[in-house]
Amino acid sequence: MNPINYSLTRTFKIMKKSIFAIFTFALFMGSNSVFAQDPATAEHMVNVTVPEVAVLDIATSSESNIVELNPTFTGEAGTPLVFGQQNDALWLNYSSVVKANKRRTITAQLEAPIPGIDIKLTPSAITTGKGKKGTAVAGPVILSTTPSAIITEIGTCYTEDGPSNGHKLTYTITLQEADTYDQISVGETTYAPKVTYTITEAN
Amino acid sequence: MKAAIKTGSIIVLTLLASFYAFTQPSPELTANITGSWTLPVPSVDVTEAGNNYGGAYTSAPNQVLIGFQGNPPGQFKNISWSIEIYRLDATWDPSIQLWVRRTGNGNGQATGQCTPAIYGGLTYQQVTNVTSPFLSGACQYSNIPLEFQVRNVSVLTFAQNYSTQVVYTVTITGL
Repeated sequence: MNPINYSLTRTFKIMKKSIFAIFTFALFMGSNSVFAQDPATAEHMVNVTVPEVAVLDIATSSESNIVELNPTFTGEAGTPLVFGQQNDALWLNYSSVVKANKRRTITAQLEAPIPGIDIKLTPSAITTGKGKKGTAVAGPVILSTTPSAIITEIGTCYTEDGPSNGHKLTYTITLQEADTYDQISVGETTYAPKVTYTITEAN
Repeated sequence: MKAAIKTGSIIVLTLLASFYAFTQPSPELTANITGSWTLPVPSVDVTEAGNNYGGAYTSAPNQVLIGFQGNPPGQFKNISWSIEIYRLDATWDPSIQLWVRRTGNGNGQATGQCTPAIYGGLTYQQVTNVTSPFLSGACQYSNIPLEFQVRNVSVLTFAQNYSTQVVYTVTITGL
């Protein structure tokens, strides 16, 4: 073998080895591209729409939610009717869902005035329920035919349902502070003005 | 000379093979989803003042269908796989819980070499912001039915629209 042929043969041998290495590498890369498969991802949306809720109710353990407030008379001539009777049989329950940072207020309104007499309402602080429960105004509030705020700063909350839950409502009947004794008269039947509670969006 | 030609041919073929191997697009795994879920929480569920919402809200049993396949078709006929799941919140209240479960097997694509199998996901599991294992199995699958539950929506949750993206990651665990 002349030196030129020897050199070519040697070169081809080296090339064969290189080719084998390249081929092996190519196969490895090809197979590796399968084993190193990127994960596939897919996604979808879940949407939940929470609505606004504003419901309130009067709860009592009595048979009815009628508040009896009856001034008394001692029977002694020359003495006045005695006022100051109280009734705390009713409870104010509510559930409220508001938009973020919104607040609600509950007002109470007397259907019609009673001449010479005040119906006062004192809502208690609340100890039941969860969430941003309302704040009872410092009572007593003299009810009138104009709505009076009794619970303020109500956010998203619930009070629990039923008597002994929510705000206890204490009604008191009093003689008006001014000398209105002469305005007191016997009604045709019984004075029975309704008290209406309303929950509204606060401004 | 003969050896040179032979070697040259091998070089050309090898280079062609290498070129083919490198230039062929890698087979891809494609996951697909059908459906989504929009839940309008009914305000009438608060039937009594003072009460909270009651219980959980459940989607249709096949609210979302998930599947995956090789691309181009015919790839990955004989694979084992796993699916992980997590939640990517857009607007979400942390108190609201999202749960998911599989309500059926879907359609496993049997081949001569592969017997379809699917495991896991039959009981509700919570979908959180952290990736967690969900399903696993063998062979390609389509139309795996999923049911969702939203829990813990309460009247302590502000009124607004909440939105989250449920992300599934399909990984081949064996070929």
